[in-house]
Amino acid sequence: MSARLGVLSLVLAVALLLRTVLVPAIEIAGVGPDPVLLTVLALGLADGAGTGLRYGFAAGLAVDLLGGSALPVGTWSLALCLAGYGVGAMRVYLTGSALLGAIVAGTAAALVAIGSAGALALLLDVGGVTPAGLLRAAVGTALYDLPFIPVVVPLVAAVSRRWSGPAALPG
Amino acid sequence: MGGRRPALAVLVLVSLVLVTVDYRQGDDGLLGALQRGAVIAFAPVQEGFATVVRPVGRFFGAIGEIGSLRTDNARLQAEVEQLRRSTLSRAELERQNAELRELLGMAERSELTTTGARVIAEPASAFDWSVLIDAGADQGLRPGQAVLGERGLVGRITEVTDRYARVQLIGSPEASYAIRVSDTGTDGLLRGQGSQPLQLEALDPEAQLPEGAEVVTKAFVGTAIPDGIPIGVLTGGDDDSRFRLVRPYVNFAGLDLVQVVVGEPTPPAQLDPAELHTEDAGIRPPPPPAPGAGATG
Repeated sequence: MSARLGVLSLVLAVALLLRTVLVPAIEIAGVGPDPVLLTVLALGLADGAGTGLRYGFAAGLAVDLLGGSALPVGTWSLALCLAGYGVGAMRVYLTGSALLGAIVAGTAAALVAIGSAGALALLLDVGGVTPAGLLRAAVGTALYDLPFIPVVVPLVAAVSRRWSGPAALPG
Repeated sequence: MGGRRPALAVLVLVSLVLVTVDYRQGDDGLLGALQRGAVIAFAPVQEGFATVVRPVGRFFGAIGEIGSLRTDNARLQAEVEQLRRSTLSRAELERQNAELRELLGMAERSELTTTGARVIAEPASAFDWSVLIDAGADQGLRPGQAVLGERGLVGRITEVTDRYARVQLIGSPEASYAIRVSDTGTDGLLRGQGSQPLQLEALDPEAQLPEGAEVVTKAFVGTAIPDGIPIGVLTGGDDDSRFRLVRPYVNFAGLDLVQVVVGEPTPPAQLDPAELHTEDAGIRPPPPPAPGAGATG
């Protein structure tokens, strides 16, 4: 279990490093792929709602703590735990090709995660979020994530299987 | 599935409590301290990772920017032509400026004292408009100091640790600056709008706000932002309104090296009345009234 925790922490750390260091260089009009969200998607699909929920919360909390003060701490932990749980819960309904299922779930996860974080920011009137900006960020991230899904989802799922533990039971 | 729902409810509740606490406490509370701790712990890893990976990112980023580079090239050539045309008038203005300074006997304003820093991490999420740099309190940085890029103002320091500092970009919706429109001398306020251009609000509703005019910082009591730092150009807006949009000079997506203004410019010396040599200047103090003297005329 501790080895699995360490490996998943490493997966999260790599995703955070890619998000803060590499992704800004390939953004288009301020929108880029979200490696952290992609790992939440991958673990939710591979291990189910329980892992998606817990990993999503931890990943969101890390994003909250490493980000600036634009949005309150807790915003991304809420958004990503909802996305992780949602992906895990919907996987039983995803039939047919695994890739197509991952694309559908990935699009839903981006819309749910960024939509809920942005909606909370709109509600609290913080971060200068506008409905148009929120829509652009959610749709843009969902689209930009698509080409990375076939690479990241199987890779993270394989890592999770290799270091599977009690938390990897189907949820 | 039913067993997961209590866990979902607990984590959603914890998140909402965190949001409420942080929203009420701001940067000074426990969660603000945790954020600073996270920066101290993770920044060295980001710094090392940036050194190795950033060139790769720049390469792939450049491929995607080929189209916009062509447009930028045409625009920059037009700017070069415009600058060439304005060289003569600028030289004349500089000559007049030097003469006036000499006449006034005013010391030249000192050069800004800056320290260089490298951007090691950019926003961790959408709706975040800050970057992390590899210089901190050990290099003389403190909150409020201005951060400059090659072409103008990048933002200001908001958080400092011993070795790192967080820079709030001028595009942040939380950022606002006192500014001046160079061409007309109009004063105003500039606010960030996230991914949208900056918004300028002129203090004078009747002010002239010509498109293409340069916007620079205006020194303001209580802030460490120097005067006259270029920010961007007016790009448009409603002609009847005192609100305009400003396109910043700095490209936030490509930030790498920045300068932090650690030394504020030396203000002109304050005049000490005890040191005034009024007779030398040909100005004599009025003589004391003679006893019994009446009004003249």
